[in-house]
Amino acid sequence: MRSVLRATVLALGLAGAVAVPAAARADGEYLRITPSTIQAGFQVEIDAYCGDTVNPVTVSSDAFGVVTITPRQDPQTNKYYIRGTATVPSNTKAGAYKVTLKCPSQQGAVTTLNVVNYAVQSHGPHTGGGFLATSSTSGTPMIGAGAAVAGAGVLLFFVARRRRVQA
Amino acid sequence: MFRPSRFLAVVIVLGGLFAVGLGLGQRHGFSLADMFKPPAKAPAGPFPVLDPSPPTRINIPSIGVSAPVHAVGQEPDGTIATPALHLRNEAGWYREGPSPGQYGPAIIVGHVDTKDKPAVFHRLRELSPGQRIEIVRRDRTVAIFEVNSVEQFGKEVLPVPRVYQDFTRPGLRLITCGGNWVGGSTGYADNVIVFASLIESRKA
Repeated sequence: MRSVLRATVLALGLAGAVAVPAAARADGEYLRITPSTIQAGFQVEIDAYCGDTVNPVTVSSDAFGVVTITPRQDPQTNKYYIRGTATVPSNTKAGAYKVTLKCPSQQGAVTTLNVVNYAVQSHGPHTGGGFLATSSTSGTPMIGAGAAVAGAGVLLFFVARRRRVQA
Repeated sequence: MFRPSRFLAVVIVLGGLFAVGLGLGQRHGFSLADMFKPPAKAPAGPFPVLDPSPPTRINIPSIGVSAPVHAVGQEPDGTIATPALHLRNEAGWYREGPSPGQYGPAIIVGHVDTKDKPAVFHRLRELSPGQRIEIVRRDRTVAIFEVNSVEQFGKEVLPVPRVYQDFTRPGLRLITCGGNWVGGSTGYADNVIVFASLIESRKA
């Protein structure tokens, strides 16, 4: 029991400093999907624990189908962790999807994955009426003055050269 | 041999060209100061993750924003819809995206002005990194975000992955208008976007 607890604490640490992603637990088994909200077409990470089993486990959801993962032993703790990824197809409807972990022991865990699906547009929204608008000719005085100064410089250059040639 | 007048002429020409460059930049919404801003960075440390719940209010004490938020969808042209122009003090939450506190970017749009008055987000540009944005949600939690950066982009070229597709942690994007007035169906040429990250939550 204590070792299971320790493993859980360690796994929490491994999952990053991230607090409370959607997680479920029964007798030490857990299932965590990160991020717990995802855009359709993107990938999520699966982090689960089924006790000391070496046999493949399945993680299934209507959002991404069935993923079979073989637990791998952590050399430091000798515990078997289940890590994998799943991609939510881009035609998945938005909504909350149940995700189920099934351990060989017939135990398991359940969590929720929220899928959003929006057609992202690169064109930004129209968020103004024009009251605060400055004229689009702002900067024109600067361009004019700059051009005049540059022109004066060119003139000075040639005047200086001609003087030298005469001298 | 050193020729002072020729040297002076070259300096004057370069100075003039620099001024022309600044003027062109000003006309097209490019800001020299923006080049020296630090990149957007989410605060270190743990963060909460909240269950889905739509936002009802937005409060930004540092720039005097306190406004109701309602859900908006999309315009026929595919851009995110905005509140009616006469609703000066209202913001719109894009309902197809995550709600504030879920993983991913919650998107809230607001007008910078109407035809004759400043509107809810007219001081958005003045926000600076580290300042707080509070979003009250229907489930009576308050999601507290910290500003990472305030940036301006041409409307045609929003960096889609950064604005809409960052699912690394719960985030917030406040979007309003900025830059030069083009008019027509475009309005302002640019969008001012505040990038923020969830840092804590509390009960209302």
